[in-house]
Amino acid sequence: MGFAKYQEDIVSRNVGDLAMRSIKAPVSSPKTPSPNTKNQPDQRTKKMSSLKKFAVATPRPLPVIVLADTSGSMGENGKIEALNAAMKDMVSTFAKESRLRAEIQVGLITFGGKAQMHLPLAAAHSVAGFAELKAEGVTPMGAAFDLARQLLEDKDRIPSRAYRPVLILLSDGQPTDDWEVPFKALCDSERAQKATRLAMAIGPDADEAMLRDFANDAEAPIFKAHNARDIHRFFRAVTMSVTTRTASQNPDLSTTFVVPPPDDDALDLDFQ
Amino acid sequence: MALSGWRGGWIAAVADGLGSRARSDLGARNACQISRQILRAASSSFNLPTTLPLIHQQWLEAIEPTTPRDAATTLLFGRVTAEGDFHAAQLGDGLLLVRCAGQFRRVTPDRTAYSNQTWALESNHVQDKWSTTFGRLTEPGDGVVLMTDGVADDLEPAQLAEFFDALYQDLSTRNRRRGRRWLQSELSDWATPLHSDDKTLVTIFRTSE
Repeated sequence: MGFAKYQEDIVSRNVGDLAMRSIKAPVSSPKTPSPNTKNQPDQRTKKMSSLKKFAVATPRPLPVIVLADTSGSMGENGKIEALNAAMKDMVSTFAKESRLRAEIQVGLITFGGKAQMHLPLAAAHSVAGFAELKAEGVTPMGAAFDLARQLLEDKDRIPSRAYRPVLILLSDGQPTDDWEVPFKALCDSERAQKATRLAMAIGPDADEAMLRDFANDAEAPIFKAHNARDIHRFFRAVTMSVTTRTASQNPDLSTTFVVPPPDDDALDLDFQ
Repeated sequence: MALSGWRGGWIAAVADGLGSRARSDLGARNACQISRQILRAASSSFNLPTTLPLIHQQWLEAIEPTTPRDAATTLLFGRVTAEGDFHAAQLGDGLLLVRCAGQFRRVTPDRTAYSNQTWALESNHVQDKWSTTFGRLTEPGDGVVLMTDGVADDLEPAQLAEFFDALYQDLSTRNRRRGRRWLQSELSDWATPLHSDDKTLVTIFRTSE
């Protein structure tokens, strides 16, 4: 801390001050601010001092964006059902997270028949639910990459004060549109390229080479889901990784990506 | 953080070590010391851009045997002479704000990426990653404000000029000790939900004609 009047007496001006005096801010107690509210000083409970009104009224977000393949082939062997259940688990866990240092936000882009923003990016605790994913159509992954890049580059939707976003791609097949150009644009984008990218190959027909190129987190190489249980395990690992980040001193640091072991009691058939 | 007087006016330096680096505390402390030493010794007509590589080189020597990667830190500093001439510079995140002849300006460029992704003092000096400014404080309310990202990232970008003026209005009515205490309470009781990052803010204002 330091404050200096410009013309002080010569004695006080020659008193040195060389301590490292960063305020170690205590972690403020979790609150539930309404999302996307602007500064509204009248809603603050405490008497406003002169500086508080200049502070942003929302916590720093940690965006988690899922790119989910919902093409027709995902309707086989219970894949889409497993994906629906795993997504719901993840969102509800994020919603209950104490949000020590960041507010987890969740967004869902689906690509089946067409690419669309199935769940707009929003604070997990404000997500009441989302429409069941349905498997249908072709696999326009390139269009999904374009949507993801546009979202990551949008400073209104993901402000510069946000922690490094997490982008998760899961697919069970080959893209059916021109995906290389949008993928290169995503990787070359000054802003979008800084997101952590995770990938899950579902079943034996997934384009593993492309998914491997997509993943950029050394802690988390491409994960292969052989059955519905594996989809749940992958999402549990994502959930643990993200929640660990929100509780860490530096939420931008990568955390160990640990996929929990399979439940031996469960009987699950592999995807064919 | 260092704020001190010297015969020619005031020098302030603020460094925020990268949390992911093992000895960034050492790097930050040395960055403050080195920049302060060099600014103290500089003549009144020194050239700031040519001083930056010197600061970097002496920082590298000061942190030995620690590697630059382990000691990486951001750095902001400002120097104001008794006549009101100021020089200030920034490498990495945080904010450098200046009001000069009644004109407010934000010296720090807009962040292009996300929080905590920052340039820092490390192995190589990259001149164009530094932001620099100089001028003369001529009016009451003119000044230089330096702060770490713990404060900067939680400020409304559109209200930085008002924030600067509010700082001056509050601090100019207090003596140095009370001003320091007031600022400390403001930063400790920060308004942004879930705030937790370290916060450092240094101001040097002209208070008289």
